[in-house]
Amino acid sequence: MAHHPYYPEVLVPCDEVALAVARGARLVEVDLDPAAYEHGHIPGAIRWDWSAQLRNQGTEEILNVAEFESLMGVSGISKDTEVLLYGDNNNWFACWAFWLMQLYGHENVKLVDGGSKKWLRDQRALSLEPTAVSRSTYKSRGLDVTNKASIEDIFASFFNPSDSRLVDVRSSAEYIGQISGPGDGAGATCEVAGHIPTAINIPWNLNCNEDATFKSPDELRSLYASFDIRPEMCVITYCAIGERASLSWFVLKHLLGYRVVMNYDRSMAQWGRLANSAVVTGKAA
Amino acid sequence: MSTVSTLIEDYVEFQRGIGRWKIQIVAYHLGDKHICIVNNLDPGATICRVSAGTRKEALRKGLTEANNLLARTAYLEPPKAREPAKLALIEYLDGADSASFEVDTFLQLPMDYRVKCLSEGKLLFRDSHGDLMASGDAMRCLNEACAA
Repeated sequence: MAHHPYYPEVLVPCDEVALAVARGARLVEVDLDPAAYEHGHIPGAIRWDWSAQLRNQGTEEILNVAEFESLMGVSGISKDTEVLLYGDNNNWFACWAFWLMQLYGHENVKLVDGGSKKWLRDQRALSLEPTAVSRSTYKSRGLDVTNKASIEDIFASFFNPSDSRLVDVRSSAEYIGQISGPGDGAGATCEVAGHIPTAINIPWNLNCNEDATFKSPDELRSLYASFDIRPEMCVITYCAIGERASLSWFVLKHLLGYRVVMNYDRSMAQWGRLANSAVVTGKAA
Repeated sequence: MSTVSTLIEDYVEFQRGIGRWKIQIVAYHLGDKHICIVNNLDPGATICRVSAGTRKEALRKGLTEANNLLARTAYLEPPKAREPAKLALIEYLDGADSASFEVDTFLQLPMDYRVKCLSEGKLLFRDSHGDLMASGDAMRCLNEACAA
């Protein structure tokens, strides 16, 4: 079986998806657009709607442990199930789901490299029928927030310039304050334009090839080294709501093996609502 | 594994501009539907996904919807460069516990206390003229002072 050439522990190439599903892996399409799945999905995939199923509908926070266990149960996922995630928007929301599953201790989870974009480009077959699953029982070991940055972590980073890096992974237009959202017309819109003070701008797409697959280890190492981001540093990634930031978190934590990497979930959507919301515009960080 | 799968036919992708946005249009035929997906190239978000009975209609619907959605995200003029202010004084406002600190003194306080002050949003920042500073500029100054 041909594994992923660079990152076999956490990535599955499109070629290998059918084999993985055949050996019992649960394939999940994670989308922002609730209509994406109905327009055709990888055969065997079930769907998670990021807005409706992966967020607490009252607090907009991540699912609590009971909600997470319930979602895993209805998805037919047990503690030892191999889970393959992919989705729309260049795998942004699949990366976020990967991050969430790691918070709750699900170790056997991987991404389909390139997600829906690569699958479509390769003109592989799609299914228009929903996939039926049998319920399972899921017991999580509980929430571990090691990979989840708090507001206090952001403030603390201001005082640790030699050991910490705050990385804004949005486009440069969002970073400098020219636009306040990714241009999809809904959601993910920041209440203030600009970036968190001290943040440097490394857009998420620098991690990826044009077909949405991840770049090689040498290319990624060189990218982060060029911004003086070193493996021993504490790195916090953020974006508009945390989904693009989870892609860069995934790269730093799982593809490059940096030790302390945190995703600031809700990112600018939360930061902009703080009483003392501090934002900087323009290019200088 | 679902047993019924359908082949993608007539796949095309191309780029064009809508106002200041560069977009990528993906179109293909799946089963009895023609599907059109519109993405912006940067930041890379999917703007819309529509289907119709013909390719022409799918493209028309996709571009119309993309136009409408992109128009909702205003492009602001780039902010003008200005001389960065220099942080001189930090005031902690909390009734009887209020206090003022010079930058060096503030940075010698315990980290937990400094983080708590910032988290509570009870700080005011003043430059060397005694004028109030934007908190973003002040935090950048604190960061630079730590790096020095």
